[in-house]
Amino acid sequence: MSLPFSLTDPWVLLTAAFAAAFLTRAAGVAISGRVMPDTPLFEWFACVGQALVGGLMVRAIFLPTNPLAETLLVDRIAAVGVAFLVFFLFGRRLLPSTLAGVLTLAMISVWRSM
Amino acid sequence: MNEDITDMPRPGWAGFKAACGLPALGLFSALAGFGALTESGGMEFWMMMASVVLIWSMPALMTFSEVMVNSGGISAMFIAVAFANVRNIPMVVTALPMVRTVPGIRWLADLTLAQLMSPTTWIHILVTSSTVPLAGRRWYFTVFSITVLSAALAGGAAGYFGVNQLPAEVRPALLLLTPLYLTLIMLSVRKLTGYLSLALGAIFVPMLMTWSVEWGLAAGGLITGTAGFLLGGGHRQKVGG
Repeated sequence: MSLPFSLTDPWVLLTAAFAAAFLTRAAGVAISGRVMPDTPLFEWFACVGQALVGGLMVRAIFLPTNPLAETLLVDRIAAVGVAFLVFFLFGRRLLPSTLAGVLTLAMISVWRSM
Repeated sequence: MNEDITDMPRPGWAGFKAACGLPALGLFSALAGFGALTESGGMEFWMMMASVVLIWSMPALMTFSEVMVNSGGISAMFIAVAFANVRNIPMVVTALPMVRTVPGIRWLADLTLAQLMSPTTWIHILVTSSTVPLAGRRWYFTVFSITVLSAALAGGAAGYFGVNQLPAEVRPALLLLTPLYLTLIMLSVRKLTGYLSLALGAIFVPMLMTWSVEWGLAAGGLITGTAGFLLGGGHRQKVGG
């Protein structure tokens, strides 16, 4: 018997994503007040999350499947480099660092098109 | 600092004012990038807005968008978003006791605040809780969270519709905003295990995803995260230490 919806339908995927996200929050509520968060098991979970999201972010920046791919790889590396430089030199402030990276890429792109 | 409730007669208003600065601006900017990213990926506007409200976590939102763009299936989506959002567990566990007036779980109220919680709210709870009277704290942070969520939705809409108004040369740069912002947030976690997991994941997860989007993502996260955890000595950490 076939399902009345496709498992690859975007709204079905959003429902799966919501269920997964809500599950982690509900798990947090269930164990809040009972378990100390700074345990090795929690740290392992955080590490897996960090690795997974880090991999996805690198893919989104350096192997993009959207119009970001129209920019040169070397330009994206330069923009990320500027963002990291601002981040580490000026007190790890997220907003200025991110904007510095984005503005760098925008300025390089404008310069290349001139 | 211990203050009496009379020191903050309108905690909701105070929470709104506290959110209307950098917290709201930061999330407006981050979600503007997400809105632009989803527009370029062909996602419907209402799906983008619904995803922001329902998932409400930048790492999980980016994961959602990337798995969607890479045509991952329902199991890949569930696993990837669950792991991307797993950082919420310690966040919720540590934040909720700080807003409780009586010990124990109040499911509806706790789930509501947990659903509204973002890293921005969490950091704000940790940093400013002592300056907000306990009796009004939950309301203060609920209003704070709703305000930054509203700013994020406005940013998402602005990015989604505004991206095509920008010069063509500048447009791709906006798509860098969200992944860069998230990468930098992860660099803010000053732990060796976190750095190693991030570095190993950054190298090997994209490689494994060229083999299989679905399994490469899950296996890559598990293998490199575990490797970062072990290499960084996370298994030797004492409980509570």
